[in-house]
Amino acid sequence: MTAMCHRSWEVEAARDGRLTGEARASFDAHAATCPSCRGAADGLESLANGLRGLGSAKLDEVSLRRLRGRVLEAVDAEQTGRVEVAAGRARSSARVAALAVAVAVVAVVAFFSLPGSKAVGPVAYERAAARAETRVEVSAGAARYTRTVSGDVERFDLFDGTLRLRVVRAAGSRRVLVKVPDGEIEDVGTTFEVLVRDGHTERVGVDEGRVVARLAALAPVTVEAGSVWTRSVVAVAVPPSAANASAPVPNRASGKARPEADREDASYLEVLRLLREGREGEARSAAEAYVRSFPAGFRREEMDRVARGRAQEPHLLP
Amino acid sequence: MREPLKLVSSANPGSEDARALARVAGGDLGALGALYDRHARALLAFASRAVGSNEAEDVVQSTFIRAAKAASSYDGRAASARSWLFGIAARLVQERRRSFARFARALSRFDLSASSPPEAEDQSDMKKALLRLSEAKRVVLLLAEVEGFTCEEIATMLGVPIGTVWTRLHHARRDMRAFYEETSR
Repeated sequence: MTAMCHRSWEVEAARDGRLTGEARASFDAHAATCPSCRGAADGLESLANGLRGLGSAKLDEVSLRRLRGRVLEAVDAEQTGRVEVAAGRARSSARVAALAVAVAVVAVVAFFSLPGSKAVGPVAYERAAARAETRVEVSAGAARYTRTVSGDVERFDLFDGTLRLRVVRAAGSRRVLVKVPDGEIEDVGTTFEVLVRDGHTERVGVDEGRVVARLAALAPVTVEAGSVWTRSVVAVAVPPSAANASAPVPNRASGKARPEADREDASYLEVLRLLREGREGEARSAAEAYVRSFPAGFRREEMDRVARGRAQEPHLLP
Repeated sequence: MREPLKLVSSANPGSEDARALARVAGGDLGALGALYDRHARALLAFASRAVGSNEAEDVVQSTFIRAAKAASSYDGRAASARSWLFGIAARLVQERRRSFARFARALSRFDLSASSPPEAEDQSDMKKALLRLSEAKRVVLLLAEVEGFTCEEIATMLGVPIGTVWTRLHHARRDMRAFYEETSR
């Protein structure tokens, strides 16, 4: 056993920056030949390594993103609160009048959004100021859905078809949830599109911002701007020209090889790429090729429209 | 009227922190998002070691909320925004623990048990030893040995004299050693 060196106290002092200059140099020279001091230094390093090896937070990307959303919403709400208080002091009577109008508007909107409202048929483009700070533009085509507002949540129940939403949410405002038969998609301030077919969510495409898709039997997935989640191929490469493009979410709904589905996705994505690049003629031809190759493909309806030169309809824009 | 919530991310992590904090002080949530993207994971790891994973998210959330409130006071005296954020997190850990201690003392008056912090059970010896340290010692030990801050930086972060940091660090290591000697007997 090595005897304790009388300078061993300097091991910790050197490590913590308490020894400087000549004192440090002297100790370093000593430690190089002193087994006791080297052993003490190794002991400290071992403790540090043990601490570094302690399990850190087992958080995945989705949880980090969720926490990010909570942080930003909390800060945003606080900042907005301050703004409202300041405005209130200056214009209290005007504020009361504005509040009365807002209440009336909300009442009217709530009346037309009561739970149990019948499924909405073809809607060209609907714009509603649901509350002062949440604005949702809906493009539903032939989709079957209902829209309800309850407390701090604006909820869309999508039963079938493609629903495209553009959500502008400000501070602390109402959340927007799209309930699908197999889960839910939560908006985080964005423009996105959801396709449900045969009781399953087939596709979630995001143009701006991001959404979190929580679907049965799948881990929650954050779909970023410029990315498309599909049941067969979750991550999609984004063309360089896509605005707001960020890293697509690397994920796969199924590890099984699905060459047919992959080919269909590739064909569909090619059409989107061409549309994004403004090559409409080629996009039309590619869409025709899609329709020929995948007559039962679940994007058949969209591709039909593109092939017929109706790509500019809002819900078809990639 | 405020602009709608718009999140952006920065292409130059690290070097833009000070500018991001200035923008946060002006109410720019996008800048806060960028700061979060750069530092949240590390803060979460630190908080997880310091208070356990159950409370770590709360600490990180509170850190960024407090940072947003105090962003205008960031004047670059901290070595970096990273150390500034860690300083906030470290203080929060100590505050939370003090709250827990008060709660435990209150329960003990009613003869109820709250003798150990959450997650003290079912941990490795290292974790148990760490959780037995006072919050002040634990925080200093983690900041120095895991996060790599110098004692001078830690003193600035926590607003205590450097001698206090040295003392806490020394005692923390001594207590960790003592725990191991005790459990290995």
